[in-house]
Amino acid sequence: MTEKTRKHKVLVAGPKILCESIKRILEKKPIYDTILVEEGGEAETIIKTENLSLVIVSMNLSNMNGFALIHRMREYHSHLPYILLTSSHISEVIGLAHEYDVGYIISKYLKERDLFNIIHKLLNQNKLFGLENYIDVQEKHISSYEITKSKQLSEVSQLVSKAVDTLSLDSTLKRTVRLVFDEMVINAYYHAHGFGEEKKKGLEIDLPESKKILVQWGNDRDKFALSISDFEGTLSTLKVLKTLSDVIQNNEKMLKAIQVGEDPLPYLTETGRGFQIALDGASEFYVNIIPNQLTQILILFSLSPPDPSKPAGQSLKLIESIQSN
Amino acid sequence: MTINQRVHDDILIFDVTGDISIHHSPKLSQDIIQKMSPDKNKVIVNLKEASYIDSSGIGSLIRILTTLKDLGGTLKLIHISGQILEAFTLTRLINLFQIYNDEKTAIDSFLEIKNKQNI
Repeated sequence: MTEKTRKHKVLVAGPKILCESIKRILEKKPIYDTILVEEGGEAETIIKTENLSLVIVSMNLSNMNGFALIHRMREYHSHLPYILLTSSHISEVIGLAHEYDVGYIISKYLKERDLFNIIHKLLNQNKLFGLENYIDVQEKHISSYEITKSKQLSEVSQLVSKAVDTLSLDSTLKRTVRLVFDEMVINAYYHAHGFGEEKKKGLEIDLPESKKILVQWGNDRDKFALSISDFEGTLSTLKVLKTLSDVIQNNEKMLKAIQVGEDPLPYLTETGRGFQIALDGASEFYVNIIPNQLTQILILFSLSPPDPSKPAGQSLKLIESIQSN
Repeated sequence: MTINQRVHDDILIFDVTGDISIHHSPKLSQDIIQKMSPDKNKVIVNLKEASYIDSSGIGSLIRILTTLKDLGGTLKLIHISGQILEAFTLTRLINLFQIYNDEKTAIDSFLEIKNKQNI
């Protein structure tokens, strides 16, 4: 059997209804076989005996949470791709994600096509990097810009804004795209190159020779997409999750303090707001890393109006994937 | 970004114009904090002519807020709309600030506090 025709065995762990709906979707393509289980213990047994390609785990299992199951399964197969499905907004589960170091969190309301796309990327890790793998265009229709000086940050922001202006988006979303892009590109420029203190002071910095940030953007009929790449690869799953978890949990503590008339300021965090803005503002958010070589942040904005039948904030948000050497 | 200062009784009012982004936001907090003291601890920041704010700009406003708190004072923001409002909402920090629609309402709210203290 060739690689193209090889069947992928996918373990799906979760409530029966969810498992069966994923089975129905996956088995539309003849390359997927599914094994369904409702309990974490069963999943652990199967992972020891079956040659799996992928595991899909629901947040809610009958006897444990999905994060704990993924954490335990990775003790047997550290490189086995996994997806955690949840109906919660990512901000509600980010604390657990950080505790168990689990990055692939996606909404169980995602579209069938998006589920196949994600699975395809996870099974073919070389498809994780590159804007052309996230939008349906040829590479020549993707605009690129290399940043080596902080003065170029506003220039590239204007170019991205111009590109967004040509799309039929409402003005709020256009402004959100600019804010999310600015936050992420500034973070990448300063933090990836060890200029965190200079960022705090708002200093203009030229990157050392041969260092750069590559920005790319483009759109298809459904999405406007941006990628921001640094060639340092110093981020890690844990760092991203910890930053997000801290800022989101502290925000909640702050709001509670305000509600009960206490001082909210002790809960303020200086870092992480950029990531939080990107997570909340973008439709899809990916952080792909080859350690010490490349960090590529991909941010996608849906061009179609939000689906009122789905809860707000239930778009696809993949926090991170790591491709080892 | 430009900052113009005005004074109304014992209230400092700062009119901010332009983008409050990474290379300007440190100036915002430095310039305003520099003017504050235990006797000058009532501050209004007018964002009517501010066109854009990012997380560093919001961070600067937070620094002003915390410094004022140490001085026993208060920060009030006025004319928050468009992108500025969206940035506050996305960062979920909107409830941290006292926000007023216009300058008169913000000034009146300072006077109300003063009157209550005098009773």
